[in-house]
Amino acid sequence: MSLLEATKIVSGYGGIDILHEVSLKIEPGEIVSIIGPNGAGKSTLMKSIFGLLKPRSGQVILNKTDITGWSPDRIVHQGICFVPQTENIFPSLTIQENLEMGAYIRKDNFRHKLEEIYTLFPDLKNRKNTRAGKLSGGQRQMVAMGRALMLEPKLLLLDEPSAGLAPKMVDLIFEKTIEANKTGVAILMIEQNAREALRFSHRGYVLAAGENRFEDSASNILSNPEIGRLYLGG
Amino acid sequence: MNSFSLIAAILGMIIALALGLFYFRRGETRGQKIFAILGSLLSIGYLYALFLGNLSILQTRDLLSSGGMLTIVISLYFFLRAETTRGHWFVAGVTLSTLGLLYGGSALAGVEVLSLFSYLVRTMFVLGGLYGLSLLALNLQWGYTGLFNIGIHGFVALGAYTSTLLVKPSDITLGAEHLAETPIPAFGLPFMFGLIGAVLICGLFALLTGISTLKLREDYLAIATIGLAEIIRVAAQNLAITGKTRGIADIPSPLFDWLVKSSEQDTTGFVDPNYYIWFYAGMILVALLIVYLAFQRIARSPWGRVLKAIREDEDAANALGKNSFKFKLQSLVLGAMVMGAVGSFWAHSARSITPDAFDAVQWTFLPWVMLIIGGSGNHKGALVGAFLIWALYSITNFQNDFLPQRIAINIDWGFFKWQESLDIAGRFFGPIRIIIIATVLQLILIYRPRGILGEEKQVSTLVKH
Amino acid sequence: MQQSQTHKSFFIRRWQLTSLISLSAVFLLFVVFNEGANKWFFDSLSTLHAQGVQALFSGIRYGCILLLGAIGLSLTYKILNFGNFAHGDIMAAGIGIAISLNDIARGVITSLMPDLDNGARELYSLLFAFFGTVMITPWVSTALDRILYKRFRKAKPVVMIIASFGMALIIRSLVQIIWGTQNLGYGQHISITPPVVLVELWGREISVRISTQDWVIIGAAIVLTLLLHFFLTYSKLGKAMRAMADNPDLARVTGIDTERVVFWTWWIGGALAAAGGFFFCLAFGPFRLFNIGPQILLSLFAATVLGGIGSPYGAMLGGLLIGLAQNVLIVFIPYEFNPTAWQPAISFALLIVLLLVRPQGILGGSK
Repeated sequence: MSLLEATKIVSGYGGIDILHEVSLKIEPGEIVSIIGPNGAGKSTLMKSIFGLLKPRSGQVILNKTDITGWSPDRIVHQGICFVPQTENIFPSLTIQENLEMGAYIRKDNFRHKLEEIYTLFPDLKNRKNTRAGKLSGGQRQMVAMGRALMLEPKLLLLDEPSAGLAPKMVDLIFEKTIEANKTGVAILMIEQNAREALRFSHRGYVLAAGENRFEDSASNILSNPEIGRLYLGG
Repeated sequence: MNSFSLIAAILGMIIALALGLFYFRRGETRGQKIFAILGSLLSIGYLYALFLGNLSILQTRDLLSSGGMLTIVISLYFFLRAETTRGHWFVAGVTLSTLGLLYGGSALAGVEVLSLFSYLVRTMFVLGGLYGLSLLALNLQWGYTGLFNIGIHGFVALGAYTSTLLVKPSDITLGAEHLAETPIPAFGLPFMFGLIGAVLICGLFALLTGISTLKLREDYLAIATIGLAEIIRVAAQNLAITGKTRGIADIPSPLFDWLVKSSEQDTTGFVDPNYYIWFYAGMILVALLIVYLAFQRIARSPWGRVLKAIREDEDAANALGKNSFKFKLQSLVLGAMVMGAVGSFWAHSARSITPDAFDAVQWTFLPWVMLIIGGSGNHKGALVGAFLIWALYSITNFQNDFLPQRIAINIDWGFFKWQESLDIAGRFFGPIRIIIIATVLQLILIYRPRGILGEEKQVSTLVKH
Repeated sequence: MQQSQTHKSFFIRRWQLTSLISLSAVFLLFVVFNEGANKWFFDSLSTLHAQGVQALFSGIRYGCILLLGAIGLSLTYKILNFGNFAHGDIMAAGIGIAISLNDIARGVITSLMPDLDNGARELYSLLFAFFGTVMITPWVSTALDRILYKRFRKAKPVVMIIASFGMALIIRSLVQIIWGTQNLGYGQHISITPPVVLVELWGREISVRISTQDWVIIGAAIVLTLLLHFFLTYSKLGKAMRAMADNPDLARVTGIDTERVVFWTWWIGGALAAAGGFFFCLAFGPFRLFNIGPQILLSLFAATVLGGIGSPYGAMLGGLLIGLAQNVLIVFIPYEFNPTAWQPAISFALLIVLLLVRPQGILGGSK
C-alpha cells in the first residue's frame, strides 16, 4: 500500500488549469524525482499535494486518509513536510531557532532530534547561534531541510533543492538528501538537475505540459535515449 | 387631525397604491418592478406621515427633502440600468409620479414647496456634482490604475486655497478683525486663473508625491497621500497667508457681479441673488459632463488600456515594454488635477473656506465608500455611488430633527456620580452618522466586494510562479 | 526590474547623491546671501543651543510613547501585510479607558479610604488605570481582528487598509460618543511646573525641566521593551511571532499555529498601544480624545517605516528617532507658524525622504 497516492489531479491558478489529470505514487522510504521542462507543472503538482493549492478535481491519499485540499497545517500534522524553493528559512532567527520552529507542533522534548539534525548537518552545529539570514545559499538549504526534518515526517517534499547552488554545494545537498532518506523518510523531489537527481532516486516521473509523460524506475529513465534527448539535455 | 387631512391622506394613499400597481404591471424587468413598489411605498409612507403624523414644520421639510433626494437617487440608479427606451420612460414615469405625490401632497398640506424643491435640486446638483467629479478622478486613479489615494481631502483643500488666493482681490482682508493687519497677498485674478492655478498646483504636488512613492508598494502611496493631506491641513491652520484657523472669507464667485442684481436699481445684473446658484450648479454640471466624456474617451483609448493592464498585472505590462511608472504618474497627476478643480469650485460657491471644511471623512472617506458601492472601474457606477451615498449622508441629518438635542442625566451611585445635561447633538449625531456609513462600508466589503478583492484569493505567496 | 538596494545598506545611488549635494549647495547659498534666511538659520541655531537639551529630553519621552505604539503596528503590518489605520484610534480608546478607570478608582478610594493623602490616592488610581487599560484594550484590537480583519486574510492589502480606515472612523466615533468632546485627563496636578534639573554639559550649566512623570514614562518604556525582548527571544510563542514576521507563509508551511500567533500579536500590540496611550495622556493631557488617533497615526507610520516593517526592534529605534526629530527639528520652524502644530509635518517629510532613500527602513529586510 503506497504511502502517498495522487490520482488524476486537475489544478491551476486563476481560470487556467496547469495540471490535466496528473497521477503520482510514492512508496514508503522511496526517493522519487519529478523532472520535466519549465512550466510543466512540477511545482503546481507539489503544491497541490501539500495543500497550497486546492485541486479542482482528483484525489490525494496519504496512507488511506484522503487529504485532498486540506490546508498545509493539517497536512503537516499528518506527517508531510515541505521545503519551498525560495525564502525557505526565517532570516532573522538563528539556525537553532529555525530548527525549533520546525519542531513547533511537537509536544515532546525534542532535544535528541536537534542533535540528530546537527549530526546530519555538522556545518550547522558550529554556527547554531548565527542568524540564518547571514548564511550562504548552501547552508540555508541545509537549514531549510533540517527544519523540515525536525518533525520526522513520513514524506519530505523538496522543491528544487539544488537551485542556485554552486556545484560543490549541490553535491553536498544531494548527499544529505540521501542520508536523510536512509532514516526512513520518503522523498519527493522536483529537480532541474535531472540526471544528478535520477542517479540517486528510486523512481522518476517526467511531466510535460501538465501531463504525465513517463514513469519508470530511475535507472530506466536514465538509460532511455529518447527521454534523455527530450528531457535530460541529451 | 381634521377631516381634510384624513380625506387627503386616504385619497393620496389610494392614488399612490393605484399608480404603484399600474407601474408594477408594466415594468419590464424585476428591477423596474421593484422600483415601482419602492416609489409607491415611499409615497404612501410619506403621505401618511404628512397628513396623519404629528410632524413639525422642520421635520416635514426634512422628510420631504430626504424623500425627494432618495427618489432622484434611486431613479438615477434604475435609469442607468435600463436598457431600452421604454425602460427609460418607465423610470422617468415612476420618478415623476413619486415626486408628484410627495410634493403635490406637501403643497396641499401647506408646505412651501417651491423653495424646497429649489433647495433640493441645488444641493443635489452642486454638491453631488462636486462629488461626482471627485469620484471620476478617484476612479481614474484607483479603478483604472490601481493607485491608492486616500488624501483626496488634501488635494481638494489645496485647490480651494490656491484658487482663493489667486482670485481674491487684495483690498479685501481676512474674516476676522484681528487678522486685518496681515492682508493676504492676493491677486484679484479672474476665476479661470484660479481654477487653472488650482489644477496646476495640485498636479505639481501629485507629481512630487508620485515620484517618491510610485515605485514602491501600493500602500506607501496611501500613507504618503494621507500625510500630504495632513500637512496641507496643518499649513492651512497655521500660516497667516491662509488665514489660520479662521480661514478666508468673502471669496468672489465667478460672474457674480455680472449676473446678479445687487439691488432693484442695479442695471448690470439680470438675476436675483438667490438664483445665482442655478448658474453655478449648471457650471459644475457642465464641468462634470466634460470630464465624464473625456474620461470615457480616455478609458477606451490606448492609454486607458495600458492603465487597466497595469492594474491587472504590472509585471506583465512592464514586460511588454510599457513604462508603468510613467503611466501611473500620469494617472495620479491627472486625477489630482481634477480634485484641485473640485476644490476651486467648492471655494467659490461656498464663498468662505476654513481648514475644517476639508475633513477626511467628507472628502476622502465618502468618495471611497461611493466608489466601492458603485463599483470601481466603472464610471457609470461611480456616479451612481456618488449620488446614492450623498443622499444617505444627508438623510442621516434626520437625527437633528427627530431626536432631542439634549438629555438630562442624573446618576448617583455614591462612588460614581454623573449629573449633566448631555449634549446629544454635539456629541452623538456626527459620530453616529459616521458609524452608520462606515458600517455600511464594512458590510459591503464583507458581503459584496465586487472585484475590489482582486482576481483570485491566493493561498499564499508560495503559490505564485 | 527593481533597483539593487538589497545587498548594500545605506547605499546611496548616484542621482540621490547629486541631488543631495545640489540641494545642500542651494540651501547654503540661500542662507548665506539672503538676509531673511540668514536670520532664520542663526536664530534657529541659537534656539537649539539654548533649548537643545530640553528638546532632546522631550524627544526621548515622546519617542518612548511612539515606540510603544509602533511595535504593534509594525508587527501586524508585516504579518498580515497591511497598515492598520485604526491603530492610532485604538491608542485613543486605550486612553479613554484609562481615564475612566482612573476616575472610578479615585471615586472608590475616596469613599473607602477618605483619609488617604492626595498623592497616594492619585498614585493608586493611576496604577489601577494603567494596569486596567493594558489588560482591557488588547481585547479591543483582538475583537477587531476577529470581527473584521480575519475575513480578509487572503485579500489584497488595499481592501484591508480601507477596512481599517473604516474601523478607525468607527472607533473614533465611539470614542467621541463615550468620552465626549471636552478636554479630559487624569486630573493630575499638571499645573505644577516640573522641577528644574541642572545638567552640566561641556562646561555649561543647562537647566532642564523633568518631572516625575517623565522619568516614569521613560522607565516604564525601558521595562516594557525589555519584557518584550525576553518574550520574543526566549519564549516559543515569541519566536513563532518573529518567525511569522519574517515570513508568514513559511510559518504556515512549517506547521506553526498562525491564527494563535496572530491573536497574540494583536493582543500584545494592543497592550503596548494602551501603555503608550496612557503615557501620552500623562505627558500631554488633558486633551480632546477623539483628535488623538489621527494625529498620532502619521508619526506611528513614520516610526514603523523608518525602523523597518516587521522588526519590533526597528519600531523601537524608529519611534525614538521620530520622537527626537519631531522635538528637535521644530526649532527650525519660525515662531509665527506655530511650531508644535508642524510636528506631524516633520514626520511626513522624514517619511518621504526615507521612502526615497531606503524604503525598507533601518532594520527591515529587503523589500
